[in-house]
Amino acid sequence: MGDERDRKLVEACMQGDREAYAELVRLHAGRVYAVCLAIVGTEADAEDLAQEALVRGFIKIASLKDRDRFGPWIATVAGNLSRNFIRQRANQARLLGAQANCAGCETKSFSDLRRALWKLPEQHRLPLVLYYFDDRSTTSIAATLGITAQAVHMRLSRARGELRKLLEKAEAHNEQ
Amino acid sequence: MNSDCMEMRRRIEDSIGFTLELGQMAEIERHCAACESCRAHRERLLLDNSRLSDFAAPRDESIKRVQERAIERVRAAGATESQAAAIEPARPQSPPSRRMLARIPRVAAIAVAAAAVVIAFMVIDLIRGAHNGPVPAFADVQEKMQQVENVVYRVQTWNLGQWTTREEGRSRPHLSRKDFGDHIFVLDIHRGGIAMLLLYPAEKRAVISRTNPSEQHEQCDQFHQRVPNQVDFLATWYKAKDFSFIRKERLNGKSTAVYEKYSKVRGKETNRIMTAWVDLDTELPVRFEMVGSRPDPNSGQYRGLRLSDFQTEDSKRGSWIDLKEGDPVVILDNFRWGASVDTSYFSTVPPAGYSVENCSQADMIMMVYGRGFGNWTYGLDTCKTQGRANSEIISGHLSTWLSLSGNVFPGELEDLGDSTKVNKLLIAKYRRGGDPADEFRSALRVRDDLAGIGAGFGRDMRVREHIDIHYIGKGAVLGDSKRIVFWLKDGNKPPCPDKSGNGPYFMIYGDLHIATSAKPPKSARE
Repeated sequence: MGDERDRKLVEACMQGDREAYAELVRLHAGRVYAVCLAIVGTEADAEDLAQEALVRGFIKIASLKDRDRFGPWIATVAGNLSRNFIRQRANQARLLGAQANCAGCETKSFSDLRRALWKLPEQHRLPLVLYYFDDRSTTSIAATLGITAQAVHMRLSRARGELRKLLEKAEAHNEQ
Repeated sequence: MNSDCMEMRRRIEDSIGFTLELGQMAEIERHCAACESCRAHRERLLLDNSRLSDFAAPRDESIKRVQERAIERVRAAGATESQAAAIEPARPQSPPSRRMLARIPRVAAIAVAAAAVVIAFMVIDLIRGAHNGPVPAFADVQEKMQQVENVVYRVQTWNLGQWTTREEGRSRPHLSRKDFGDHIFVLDIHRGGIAMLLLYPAEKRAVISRTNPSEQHEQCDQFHQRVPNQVDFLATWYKAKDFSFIRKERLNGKSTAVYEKYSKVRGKETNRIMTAWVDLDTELPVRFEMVGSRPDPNSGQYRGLRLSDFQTEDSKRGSWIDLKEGDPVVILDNFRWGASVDTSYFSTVPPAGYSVENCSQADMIMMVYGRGFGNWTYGLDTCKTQGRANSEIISGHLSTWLSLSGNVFPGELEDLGDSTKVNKLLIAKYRRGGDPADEFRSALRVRDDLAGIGAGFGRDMRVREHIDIHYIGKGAVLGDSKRIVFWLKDGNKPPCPDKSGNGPYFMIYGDLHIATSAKPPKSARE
């Protein structure tokens, strides 16, 4: 499913219109940020990576073949950048440690939720984070991830189930 | 948990994002009321949903920062790929010796390419209007629109395969004016009442309608509270968060920013429904285009009647103007924001030398907006004592039917709104082998009259219980002044407030004259 508005903006951008790209940034920054956050897990890194992905999108816009699919394309750019970032940081355990350090700046409930979220496998975490950080449309998530809406439903359902179990476990631990 | 529960849980998950229709939501409610397991599942999901939403909410600031920084870097980077490369992360470089060897031809090539790109962008900028710098957000444009005292503009409307043009003006008090060429309509919605003036300059004739302030005081005050003035009415009409900047464009010698508004239907492809061109110097709109909702505006079915019903092999489409999918059906342009207009421009006082007729608000609305509109507003669905007005409406529509049927009254009153019957009569009367577009339009104008009563009847039939309506015209022929074809007595049965039943009976005769009586007719001949 394409997007006529995106296609027009991409075409204008290819003709050198920077304001058209600025509009694309406004429209897709939420989705790009959500993808980065779902993969790297820390807000500061997600902000930097999302920014980087959007700038790279501008540089590489000429390589975008399906001009009405800017959203899925820029999400892929963001995803790749974020995974590279994770690899460069050697192991995810250190990242989780960094998150634990941040836990003091938010409520216990959020801290538990954050830990539980990042214990989910990426293929379940990504649609769940996109759902809450982007526009809550399963169709849009399906387009972004290049999977069917049915698959999004399934992954969301599994993610919610796993998250529930993890949260129950955390709640039980807190009560002890 | 059974298979119903599995399906229901999938829907419950959908319901969390509010993507379900009301009917499906009601089904979930019913199921959860009966199934404790699904009810508990939904409660858990709602709790998690609420926590995740709270968790995601503060990230709006992060997203805003991402937007601002990315846009800043893109703007600073320049428009070309070679310039933009400056903001790419550093790449591993070739050894110095190889770089030296490669440098001379590459430098020359890059210089030529860069010069070509710069020239190309200068030309593009020149064509597009050479207005560099950020474009205004549409909300700012709208604010500027609201600051003017008066605005005058042209409206072009595509309807029934042809373009019509009128000039419209709006003023900060509740004044508006429509100039259709052969007639002018001025509307003043002041606090406590409405004044309407219709002018026919060629005939030096004016028709005026002024409501008694006490009649519509509340209605007008509510309108004033909702829409502060006529300029705001125009500005707020276009107010929409999803008006997006698309490109810069040169339009009639002006540098403009083009914005598009898309309909947002969750889960479906978005459709462009409006485009606006904003002058980058004044930051005010110079043109609006609205796209119709029909995918193909040419193939509209007008209650079953089609252009093809009037076409022959030779005549083809005649004067019918085709539109392509996505073409505008309404264009607003020639804007004069803050126009200086004479006080007479918005005046509802007839000019000197004009003959003046007074009319009711209902008649004025019918004259300006057509009979169909009048029927919707002043149709038979009323508890008020409007027996005469209702009889006149029926009489008028019977007259239209008779003009098509060879002066034979319909078998049933509902025939007036039955397209399977009316369309045959229209095609028989108007298909004459001339311009099919003109014939089609003529047929549609008559069709609209009857469609009005048809739609009205849909409502009227529902209120039959409290309005006495009797059609007894089957077999009657136009001209029989002794034969009653229709009679009614309205507004005297529950739930109408006036249950006295003291009002007169209204009767329509075979020559379409209307008479009243204190008693109902005993038979068709009285």
